[in-house]
Amino acid sequence: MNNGDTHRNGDGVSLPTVDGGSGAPGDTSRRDFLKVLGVAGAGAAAASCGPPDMGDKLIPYLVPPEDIVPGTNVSYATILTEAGGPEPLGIHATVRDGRVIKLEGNPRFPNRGRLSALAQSALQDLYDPDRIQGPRVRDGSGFTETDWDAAIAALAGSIVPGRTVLLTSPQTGSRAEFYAAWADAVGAEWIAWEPLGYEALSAAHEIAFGTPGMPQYEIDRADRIVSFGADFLGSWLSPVEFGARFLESRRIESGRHAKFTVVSPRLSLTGLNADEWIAARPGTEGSLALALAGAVARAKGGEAAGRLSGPLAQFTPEAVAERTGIPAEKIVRLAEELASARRPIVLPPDVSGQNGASTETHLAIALLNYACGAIGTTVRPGEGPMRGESVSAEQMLGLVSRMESGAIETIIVAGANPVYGLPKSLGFAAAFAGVDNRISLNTHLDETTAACDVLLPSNHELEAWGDAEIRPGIWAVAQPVMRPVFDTRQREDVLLSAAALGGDSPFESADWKSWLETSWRASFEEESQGSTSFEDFWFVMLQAGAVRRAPSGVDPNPPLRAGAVERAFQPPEQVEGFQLTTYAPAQFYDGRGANRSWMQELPDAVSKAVWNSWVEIHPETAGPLGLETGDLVEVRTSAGSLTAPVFLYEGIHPDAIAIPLGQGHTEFGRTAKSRGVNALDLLDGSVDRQSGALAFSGVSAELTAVGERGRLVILQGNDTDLDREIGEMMQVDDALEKIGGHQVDLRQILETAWDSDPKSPYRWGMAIDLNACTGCGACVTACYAENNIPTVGEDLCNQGREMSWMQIMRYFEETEDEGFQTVHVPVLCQQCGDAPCEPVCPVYAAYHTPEGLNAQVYNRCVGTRYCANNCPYKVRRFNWFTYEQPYPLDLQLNPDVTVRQTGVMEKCTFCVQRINRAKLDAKDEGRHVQDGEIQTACMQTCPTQAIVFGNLKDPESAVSRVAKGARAYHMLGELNTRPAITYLAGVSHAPLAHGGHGDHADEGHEEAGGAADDHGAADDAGH
Amino acid sequence: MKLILRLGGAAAFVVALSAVLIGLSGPSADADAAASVQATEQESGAVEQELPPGIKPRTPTGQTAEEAIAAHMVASEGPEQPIPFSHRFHSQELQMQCEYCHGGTEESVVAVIPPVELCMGCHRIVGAQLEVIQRLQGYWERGEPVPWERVYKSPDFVQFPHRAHIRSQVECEECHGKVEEMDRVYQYSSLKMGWCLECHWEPGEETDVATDRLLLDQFPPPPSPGGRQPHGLYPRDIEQQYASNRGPIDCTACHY
Repeated sequence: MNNGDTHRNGDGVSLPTVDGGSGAPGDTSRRDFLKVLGVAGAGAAAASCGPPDMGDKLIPYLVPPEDIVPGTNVSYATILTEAGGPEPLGIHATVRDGRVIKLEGNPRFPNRGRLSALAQSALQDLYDPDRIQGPRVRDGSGFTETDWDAAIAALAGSIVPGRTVLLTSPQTGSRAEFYAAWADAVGAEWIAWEPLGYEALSAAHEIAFGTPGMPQYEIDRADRIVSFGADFLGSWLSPVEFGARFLESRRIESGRHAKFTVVSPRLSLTGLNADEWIAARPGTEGSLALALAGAVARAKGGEAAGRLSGPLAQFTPEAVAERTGIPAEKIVRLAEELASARRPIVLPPDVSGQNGASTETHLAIALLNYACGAIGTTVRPGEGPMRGESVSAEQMLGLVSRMESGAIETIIVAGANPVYGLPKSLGFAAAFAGVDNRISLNTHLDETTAACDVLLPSNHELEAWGDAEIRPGIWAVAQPVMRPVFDTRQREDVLLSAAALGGDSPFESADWKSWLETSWRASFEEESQGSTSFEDFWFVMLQAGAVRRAPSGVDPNPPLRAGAVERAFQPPEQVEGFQLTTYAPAQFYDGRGANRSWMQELPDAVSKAVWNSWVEIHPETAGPLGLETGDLVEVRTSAGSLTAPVFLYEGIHPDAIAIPLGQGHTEFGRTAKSRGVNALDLLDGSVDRQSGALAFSGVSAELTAVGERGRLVILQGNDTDLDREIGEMMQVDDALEKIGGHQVDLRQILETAWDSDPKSPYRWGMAIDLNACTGCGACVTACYAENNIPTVGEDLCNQGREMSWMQIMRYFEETEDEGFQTVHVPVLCQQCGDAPCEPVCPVYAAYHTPEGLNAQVYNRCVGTRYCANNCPYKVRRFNWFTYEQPYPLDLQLNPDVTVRQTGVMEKCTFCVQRINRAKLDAKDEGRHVQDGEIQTACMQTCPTQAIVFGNLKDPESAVSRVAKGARAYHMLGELNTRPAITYLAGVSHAPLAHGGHGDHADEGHEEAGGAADDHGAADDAGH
Repeated sequence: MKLILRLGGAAAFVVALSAVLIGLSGPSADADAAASVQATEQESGAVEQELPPGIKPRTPTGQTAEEAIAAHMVASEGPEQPIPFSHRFHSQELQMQCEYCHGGTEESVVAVIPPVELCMGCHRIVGAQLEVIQRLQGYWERGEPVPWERVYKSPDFVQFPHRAHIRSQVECEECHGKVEEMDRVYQYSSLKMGWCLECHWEPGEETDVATDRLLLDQFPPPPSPGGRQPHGLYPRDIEQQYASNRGPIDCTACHY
């Protein structure tokens, strides 16, 4: 494709020379390539490996696919069960000419049409150039190509009945049936394992209510939320769904705002959205929950009081106060608030709180929910997301000893990566290396696959058939949305072929698709009784995505079981020194996101750091050690040590240190490899006593300053907005009182000389609700996907040259009780009515459209960068290089958006390609664009619907109505740039130091002027 | 995004089964994206189409296929194609409409390059004795698409939707010239921005002063005052969205 000089830097992002090789005759730029492909489609492009060199050719289809018009988008319903995060997500995959170019949520699924950042980046997983591109066998230290027949023969030949293990991730639906049946037929043992399992939660609910599996947490119904640390908006259980539910419980416009308290040693992404933080000493959450349960039960009376009051009598607030380090009066107050709430909900910890007594902690929280009356209302045992059977870390340890003893001759890995995902101290990697036959059916060359001898790469799930039981009784179907990018095969087909080799297949179905259809046909015929044909049903099923196949069969309101209370007591062992806690960040989850550059370059919600790992410590801890953010520190536990830069964080208990999981890969691809540290190396492999779940926290650690600066690239200049009307908050009572009040005068935007053409019926505008924004970053990644934004790597990020059109600023605001509150502010181009960027452009590249957008005409831009210098919001990005994307990542590029080159300024234009498409659609039908017809990419994916976009000239449009609210303000309003984006102040129950938004509007301008010399709204990027 | 609602008899059944959270109608979920690429014989029988208003019936000149091939080979303009396909022969002699082969223009940004299967719809039989047709059949039998040479190419930074122009009843001929007289197709129009503006813009008509000045700076008024006539085909109130009914001159209409 590009024959010019292309340099690769360490970040896996290739950077060509400044002229990008684009001037050489005969070169085909990416965009040319896409145009050719746009005509040709997948038939020609995706069939072979490597980029086809098509020059100035027009390659037609050989046979056109039915119903596909080249150059138009088609969307297919499918599900993401592996690449998207902890939960199965219903998606609509937008396919253009045979390539998936964008993922959006399926509105009929619990994720309600929304996706997380990690799910958005599943496209980079699909088009990852580091995927295994065809069958391989070991050749010395590397691999050599082989053909599928030989690879399948090698797989079939390795299966030794009784001494073979099939290791997968947990499965539900037909896959669970299939793997069990396959293992049974060939004499193998099927083990399903996931690194961040929910064993303790499941075990506790089985003990308490006799219902294993995940409870359904109906946060939207709650009027008081207490969490013991679960990062339910980031990486825990079902974050996209929880985002929507969380917003519902706090939709201030409908008069609701459930107070949210977090009790945990560390504030996660979710914790930053809390109104109150009770910094429990690590490992004491269970005792606190028991004290609360006793107090709430006594206050509420009834059956719960009878069952709990007696046994919990020893957990008095005073006794627990001493253990937890939380004042007794705070505990009493919290108990009173829970007892008086109509529908409270209590959420458990996630892996960051998982220690040797995790089941007890979860049980204590289940009892607290029971005492509150939450069981059966806001917490519905057994009705939550289906996870599939899986083994715990303890059972994996059993597997390790069997491997060591030679009892296992063959391991077939299919969708699991235990060499990375289990702590080194468990000895899995060494034992695995001693197994005779190691075969991988994974998609990527991950740590486990790199230790295998035969690789049979499977299709990515966007290229594969499948199904999943997403909730008890509700099944969803996955269908391939494009042809395989590489020479890969459906995983189940490979297993079926291997089983059938050298004799008759033990199965009726010759391939996985017919297996799947047979499974569905059976249940269909049982239920439909001949009312319609299976083919019709299947067709509609594929369009809809999911269906209830069976009643859920769980009792959502089970009685508390005898003996449950007593089993909740065992306190965890006391830990000396610092307590290490590891946590799953939303962008990497268990490490699966690490080879996606969008995820590496997505600033972490808490630290805003990119492309690295860090150690979070409290400033009080850092002080005696003389550490500042970015200094290297050595963390040592009994299991090992590692060195990483520190991040000073007020939101962590002084006794705790925290390290994010997911980095420190030794294989897995150019983006992930040798980047950051793997916090699992520090875990000693101890497990929860009752469930066997790995203890991700509660490990004693020592901290030593190395005495050197490390490199921690943090993409945010200031932790506060310096009181400059950037991120505003207001008190909840104030907000409730002023609902419906009118503050922003829209005429200010509309009646200015430089604004939209009076004859145009449109003036595009946006409203961003900071009460809803959780800082999850889904919008940022959706923007990368939609607008062909390149990632630039750690070096250039360090120089402030990141390209994201949208950044989420995380500002801390002090509260009167000496705590702090956080407001997340998505900052993107404000599309000013009187834009400072426009008049300074000498070539009219920064241009005001008749519809009020600050357009950037890339082909006019000569790169003076005056506009970026003059932009007070710092949202313009300059292309210092032409950023090439290695094949096949370039297949993801959106053909509707120009790919920018060296020397060009770029920025958000409210997804003008989507605006133009909607206008053409409207014109075809002889009407105006309707409200809600245009969804910008950021708005579309936002789990909490924080963003509203529309026409400000229509007084009835959603954006016009929202932007008039009492919480509305314009960012840096005193500059009079007349932005088209109206922010709605965040709402908090905490006593804000300034009294909140609106209160200091009168005196704020003076101060803002004084702070102008400091950093602006955003980092000084791009110049 | 194209949403196709196709609810069969199964709908009622799914309603019966479906949980509250899951609805019915969905985007077109083609049963097998992978398989559908190879499946389906296209109906290629009915050629008869009604002529759109304004299209003049063409008059055959009696050119033979052999003459057309020879004319393609010696033509002085335009790239030589891997198969000496004569637009003149197909369009004028055989009276085929542009849209028969280059469909999709009403919906898509591109005018479709016909799939080999479409060619084979006729050429399994028609002209099978000719060497050039055997060449085509060779592509078909080998499963290779024909690597046509590109004639029209808009720059990377221009978004040109065929759809908007076809819907505004701009004739193919206005940009592509009299293809029915071209033995070998060549680039008829310059595709430069000034050429686009001949239709999109009348100096002085635009009330948005900034835009007018911006355009005047770079594009002097076209030689003949008035330029081409605007196509006032959309309903009046929709046209009035814009200062003129010549199509948008807003930069972001094409550059984004």
